[in-house]
Amino acid sequence: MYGLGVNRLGVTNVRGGFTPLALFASGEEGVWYDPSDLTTVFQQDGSTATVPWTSGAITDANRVGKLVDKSGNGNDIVQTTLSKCPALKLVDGLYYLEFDGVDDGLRSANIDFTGTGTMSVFSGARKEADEVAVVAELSNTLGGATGAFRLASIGGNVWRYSSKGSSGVNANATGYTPPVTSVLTGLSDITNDVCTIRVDGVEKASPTADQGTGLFGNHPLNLGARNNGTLLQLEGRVYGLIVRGALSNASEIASAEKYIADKTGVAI
Amino acid sequence: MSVFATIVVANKNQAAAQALTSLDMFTSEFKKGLRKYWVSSGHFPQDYYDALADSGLIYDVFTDSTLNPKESLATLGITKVITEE
Repeated sequence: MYGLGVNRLGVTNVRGGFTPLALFASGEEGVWYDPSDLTTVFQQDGSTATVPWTSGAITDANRVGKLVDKSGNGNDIVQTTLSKCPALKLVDGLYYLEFDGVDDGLRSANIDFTGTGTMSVFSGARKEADEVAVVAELSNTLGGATGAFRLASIGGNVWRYSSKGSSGVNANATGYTPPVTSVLTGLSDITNDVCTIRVDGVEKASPTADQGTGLFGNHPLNLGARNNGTLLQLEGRVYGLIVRGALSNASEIASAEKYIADKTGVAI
Repeated sequence: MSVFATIVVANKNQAAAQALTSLDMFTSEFKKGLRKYWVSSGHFPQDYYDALADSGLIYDVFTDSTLNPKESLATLGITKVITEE
């Protein structure tokens, strides 16, 4: 049905059985967070299942303090402070994390990406405000880290993917005026100076400036804000996140983007 | 039990508010001119909320969970500090 030839390559599409787990079949480091899988979404205590909000006031039971990593790498992401926990919402059949833009954010323990200089990041996100805000960031502060990336909203109606070895490069996708919901893809190859942002299945920018030297680092992954909710807080939604410590090929990108699009309600 | 609130404390009261709650709270910086404020928004454990409410440390508080916290904060004329790098 989705004529991408992906089955021949062993990466089947969503309705043909694609699962992001296929992206980690060779032991790639990374994460896969899926708020629609309620067996992986827990409250602040880390063990009580989160109940999706559907109407009325948001309660503790709707708050998310832990997302279990489905990639098989054990990189769960957590928030232990109740007031910083995003809400899990179910609207029109779609599950998402709602971040308040004030102090919500989740953070993993350090993830060891030191074995690779390549990266693929896939997310479905919505921004409500035209400001700098983190969707996902590897490290607590991109500018102060080497071997890091950031997928973010930037003022001026921009989605940005930043890739950094010892030097950082920004790929900007312009014209995304909030409120806007997008399927976002960031691709990195530090050694070969690849820094690409794709939006809704289309490549938008791929600057080739020098990213310096080195591999990716051993950093925490932040979701919905920088440094555990202390800065660059996203006022918006995250429908899912896949981070793979490898540069995905065209068929893998197409499959992952279609998967995220279906979770996000965006047609691509 | 918990209480939904958006709580603002002045810069001089940040450490005291954190001492009553957690070092992981009141970590979001807002400003109005040269004045700095620290904000926590969301569900507060009841004991934290009660301690703050009784402390005299609060600059302002909003408890209507149906309102957007950033819009509530905007009524105070304070804006989020954004430090990109």
